[in-house]
Amino acid sequence: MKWKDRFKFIRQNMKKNKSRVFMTILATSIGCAFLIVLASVGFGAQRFIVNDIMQDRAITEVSVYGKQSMEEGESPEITKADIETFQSMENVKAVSHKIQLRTEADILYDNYSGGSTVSVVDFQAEKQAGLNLSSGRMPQEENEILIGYHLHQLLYKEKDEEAGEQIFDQNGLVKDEYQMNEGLLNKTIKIEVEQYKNKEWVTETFPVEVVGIMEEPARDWQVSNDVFISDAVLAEVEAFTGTAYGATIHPDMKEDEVATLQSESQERVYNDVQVIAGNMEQVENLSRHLKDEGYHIYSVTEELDQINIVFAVVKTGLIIVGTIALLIASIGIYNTMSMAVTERTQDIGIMKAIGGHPKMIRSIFLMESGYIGLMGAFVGVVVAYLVSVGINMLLPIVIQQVFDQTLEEAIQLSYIPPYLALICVALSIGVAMLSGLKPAKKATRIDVLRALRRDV
Amino acid sequence: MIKVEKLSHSFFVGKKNNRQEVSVLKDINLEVGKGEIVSIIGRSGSGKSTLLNLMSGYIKPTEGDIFIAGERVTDYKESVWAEFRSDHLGFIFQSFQLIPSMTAYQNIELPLVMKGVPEKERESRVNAMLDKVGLNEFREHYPSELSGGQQQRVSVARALIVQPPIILADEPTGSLDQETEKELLGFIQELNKEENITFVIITHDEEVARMADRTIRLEDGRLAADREVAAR
Repeated sequence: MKWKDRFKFIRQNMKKNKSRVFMTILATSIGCAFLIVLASVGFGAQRFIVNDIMQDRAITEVSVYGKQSMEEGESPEITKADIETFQSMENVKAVSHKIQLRTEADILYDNYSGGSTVSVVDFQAEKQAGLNLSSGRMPQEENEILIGYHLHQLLYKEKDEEAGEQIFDQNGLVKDEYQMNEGLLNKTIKIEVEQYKNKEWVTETFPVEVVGIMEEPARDWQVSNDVFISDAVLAEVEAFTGTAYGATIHPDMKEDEVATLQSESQERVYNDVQVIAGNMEQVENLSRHLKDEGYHIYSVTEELDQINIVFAVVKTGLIIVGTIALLIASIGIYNTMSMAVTERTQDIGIMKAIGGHPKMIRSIFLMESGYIGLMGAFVGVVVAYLVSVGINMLLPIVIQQVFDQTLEEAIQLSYIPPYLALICVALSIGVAMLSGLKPAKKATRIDVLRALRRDV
Repeated sequence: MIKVEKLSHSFFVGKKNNRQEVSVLKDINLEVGKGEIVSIIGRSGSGKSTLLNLMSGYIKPTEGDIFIAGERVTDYKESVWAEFRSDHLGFIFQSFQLIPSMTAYQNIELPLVMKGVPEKERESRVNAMLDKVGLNEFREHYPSELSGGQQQRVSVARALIVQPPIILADEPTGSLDQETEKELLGFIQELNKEENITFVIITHDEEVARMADRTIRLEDGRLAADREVAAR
């Protein structure tokens, strides 16, 4: 019997008892939809958490915190030689490395001033590592710098503060009315550094030109007050402070402490080092390589691996619970198919009597139950997608109404990846065919003579 | 065409402790030649239907052998029997055995569908067959919408559609009135003459027996007589 004829035959048979078939398909689709929606909550939560982590760090980023001292006298800190080692490693796209100024530097522009975090960076390396600007360009000259997105919103007039005004808002930014009216792009600002020299506090300013402003941080609550300067500016600061990295000397420091600061580090050490891999797949190899070399590292993939394991367990649990619904639906399919076999006993007997092959008869009933599974799965997937969209739309409203909280970010509680839908479709068809197995076998075992005598 | 050797069949009745063997056929030997019409007659319970069921492969004999078209079919499995039936045998039943949810056309087409014959070929063969049995105008009628004679003609058409060399008929005229019976017997004779189809017909109708080339009489499960009919 050709497949086309089998399908025709099945459709004809199903039409004989439309309501029963409809109810069975309905039960299967509810089971399938329940399974998908339940699992989609696991997928949605995983996606939300993973995205949350990914927002903070690039997935290809490996942070290096230091290294194990292999030999006596070897520094645990990351030096220029280490940076060069990283750069020469396989799979490395870029090495971002910063040196933070070890003093509280103020930024001055016109009558405005404010604190900031000043770091020395290799602009070329930062660009390769994926540093993006919201405006301007990358520095090319020694006195050119980049500033954080919010820096101009952190500067204020000292006289306003002295007047006892509340000049900062809840995010720590200067309120609009106290802010400067213009941005700092293409402006010359001054970095003010203080040092205790000859038993008095001395200040010095270093004029630099802002040529680029970094992009806004991923998080709404993050404030970027960074100032990225070149090695040359650091050298000027060091020349003034007389200490490495512009470290501030305090009046209560002992002489040996001051001497240490002044003599420290002929060689630069970096305190914020990120090795960037070419792609996500290379991160694991790179991490292993760095660990083997004795570096203390952290990569987001390690965290993601653990999260993914936890969620794999959660999702498996949810799928098992959901499959129970599908198994309940399979009882309905079994019942429907058993009744179909009983009702069609005479037809089956006639078919066998005139040359119907038992295998063909079995396949017809198996296909019929598979068809019910397929229809149920199809409807179930559509329903599941609708429910999923509904859940995601209603969730913020429910949270607002019940908990009186507004969600700043869109939370997707339910997420149905295409492969989840495909797995559930396969599962539905599989379960349906398993349910039809026994009735189909029963059909092949029907005794021809008894069936023809209507004695079954 | 059909050869039966030392064929015996018995079955058991009653439950475990009270089980009894009932012998239905005892040591039957017969042969049916190609193109013959053989009628098997006998009283009710004489074993004639059992003999036909054994030849059809619906039941297995207790002893003896059956050869059809040169093949020993006695030990055939169900699946082999299914293929053998669809290639070599056509069946006509007393109660027609048509599928009630199928039209006359679909019932006749069914053996071809099961054999996997392409749709176009099926269409032309079924149309020709409907013309042959004179049921073209009833092609879309369901069995319940046809008379007994018409239903039996559909049944005959279904048996003939795969062009089998042998047709086994179990009381084919049992549910028909005299006129329709005459018509059907005429049709059987015509088919036998034109297409050289072998017929084995179970009957207790003298009219049918007279139409046959040979008549085999069964009595109490034994072959009591095997004689040629003088003239048709």
